[in-house]
Amino acid sequence: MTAGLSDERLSQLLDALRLETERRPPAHLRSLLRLAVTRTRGSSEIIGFATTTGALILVVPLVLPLVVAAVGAGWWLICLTAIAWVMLDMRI
Amino acid sequence: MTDPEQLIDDHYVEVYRLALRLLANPDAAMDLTQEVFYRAVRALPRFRGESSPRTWLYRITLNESRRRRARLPTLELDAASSLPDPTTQTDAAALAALDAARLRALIRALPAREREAIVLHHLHGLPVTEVAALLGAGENTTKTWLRRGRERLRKKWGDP
Repeated sequence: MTAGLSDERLSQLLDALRLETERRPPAHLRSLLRLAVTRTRGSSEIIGFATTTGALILVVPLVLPLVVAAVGAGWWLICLTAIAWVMLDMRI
Repeated sequence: MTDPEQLIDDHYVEVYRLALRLLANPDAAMDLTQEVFYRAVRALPRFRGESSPRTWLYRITLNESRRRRARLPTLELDAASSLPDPTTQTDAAALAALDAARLRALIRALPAREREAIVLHHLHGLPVTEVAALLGAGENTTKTWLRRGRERLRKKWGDP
């Protein structure tokens, strides 16, 4: 083994190493990658569907009664205010 | 928005080559390439095109290689068995194979930033500006890493 290495020789060795790794990937890599994309897309769509459905299942039963109650309470409040106003107005 | 299939077709060869150069192991490079595209396709809706798709993929490759390098054995069994048999080669070819193996080992032993700069610039052929951007450093700092890395390789070549 030589002591040290000239800069020119190092460049040659690096160039040889670059050429050695300038190889095509295994033939099945592209298919594997495309398959992974399809699966990723599929799982994203499933996750998206599940999320939307889950949100609907959870949120609708919780929110709908609250909305109905709020609207009902609002109407009651309006009615009671109106009655109170009429009673006050008529000095009952 | 880039089409995932198009992204793969356009870049999988160069991502594989970069992975191979960073990890020096064909099986690990295959695995890393799959991981890179898996991550890229998942993050694609958030990709705003601030850099080119190639630079973006290289950045993912580099980050993922750093994570994997720590747990990569020094020489996989498959890689060891695929080394050329010196007895079946001419002297020149056998010496070239030994030189390449030695240089690979020395590059692997370099400090992280010097190693990455050497691999990206000298083995993968990226210009210094692109290497600097990928490593998140200035051009002068990158040039210093390259110079120090080369000096270290030259010096270590002579060590027993």
